[in-house]
Amino acid sequence: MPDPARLSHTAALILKALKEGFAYGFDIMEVTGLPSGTVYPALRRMEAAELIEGSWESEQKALREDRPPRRYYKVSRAGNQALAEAEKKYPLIAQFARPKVAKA
Amino acid sequence: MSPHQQLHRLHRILHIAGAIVPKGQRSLWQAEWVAEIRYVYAEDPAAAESLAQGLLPDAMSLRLLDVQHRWASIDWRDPARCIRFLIGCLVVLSAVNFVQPHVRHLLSSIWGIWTFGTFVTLAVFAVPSTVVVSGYGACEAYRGDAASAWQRIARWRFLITKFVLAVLCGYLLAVQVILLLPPVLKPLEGGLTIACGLVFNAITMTWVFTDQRQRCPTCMRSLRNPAHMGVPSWTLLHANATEEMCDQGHGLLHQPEWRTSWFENARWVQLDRTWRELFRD
Repeated sequence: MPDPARLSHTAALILKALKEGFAYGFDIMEVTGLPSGTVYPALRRMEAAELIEGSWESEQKALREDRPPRRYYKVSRAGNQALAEAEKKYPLIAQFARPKVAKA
Repeated sequence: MSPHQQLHRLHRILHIAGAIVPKGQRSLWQAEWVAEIRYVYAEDPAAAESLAQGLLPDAMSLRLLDVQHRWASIDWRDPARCIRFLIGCLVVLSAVNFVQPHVRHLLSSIWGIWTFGTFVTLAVFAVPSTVVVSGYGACEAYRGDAASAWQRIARWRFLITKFVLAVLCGYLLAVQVILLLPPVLKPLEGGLTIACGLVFNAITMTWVFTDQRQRCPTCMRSLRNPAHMGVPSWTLLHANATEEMCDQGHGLLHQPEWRTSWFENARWVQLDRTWRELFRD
């Protein structure tokens, strides 16, 4: 696991967005304003570092709705600890508290 | 651009980027991106374009992570890895030398044969001095070790292979250095070749023997976990030394800092089988 103190501002922002319920790449792009070339590689790195966990949506559910299954991410226990450390380092990250509202 | 053309273009980018992704992760990576692009495209085709810009950076980041993981998993202590590394260096240096026609011609000429002969002779003469410099001669590492006859043969084979490969690498590197000399120094070429041979052989031979000394005489794996023994302020009252442990539990190399310490010279301390339990993974 990487040293939480070395978590970049961008990585901390993505981690915070995931914690607030924005669970896939494009969702994070929209809420943070970061480009896809930053968001997806950061997700890979954080997943490799076990800060986040990726899981596939139920295939049956997706097939019923005639669409491909999507991959969702959530913050792991180590990720929560890293985020708490990062919020001390980057106080503005803590103010990013916009829990995702389900679309009507 | 028509929707059909746009989808075709996105598909092509996905296919190109997919080739960069490591094979084992490719199908899942493509499935994730196909789903992402499809969802976004259904809502806003223009947003799908900006989303697709992340395909190549994402594929490259996965490849980079794979390379980093492979690099981190290389067992550099393994003697076979050491030989493979030297063979790799030799292949690269041979390619650099033999790809140039004038160098190829030079190496097969009388000059090349003379230089090679000089280089090998200097390497053989460099051995006694480098053995002293590396402390290999003074090391009693191989006294009292429990290696079998086959392990002893393997030890010598490893040392000789390393010696031959290091001399060849040094020679090919020296040829490149000599060829880089400016025309003004051409009259001094003979002397500079010998000087180059001395320097390169001193470095490579010192490495060959220092590396051999830093290995377990039983399994030839590089030693690890150096631990300092003794109390610095009690220099004369304690046995101040550094001990390096074999990660397979065959023993430890005791390297005294003072000749008045426990051992006068570096010595291999063999551990019996009862210690192996502690070294299991």
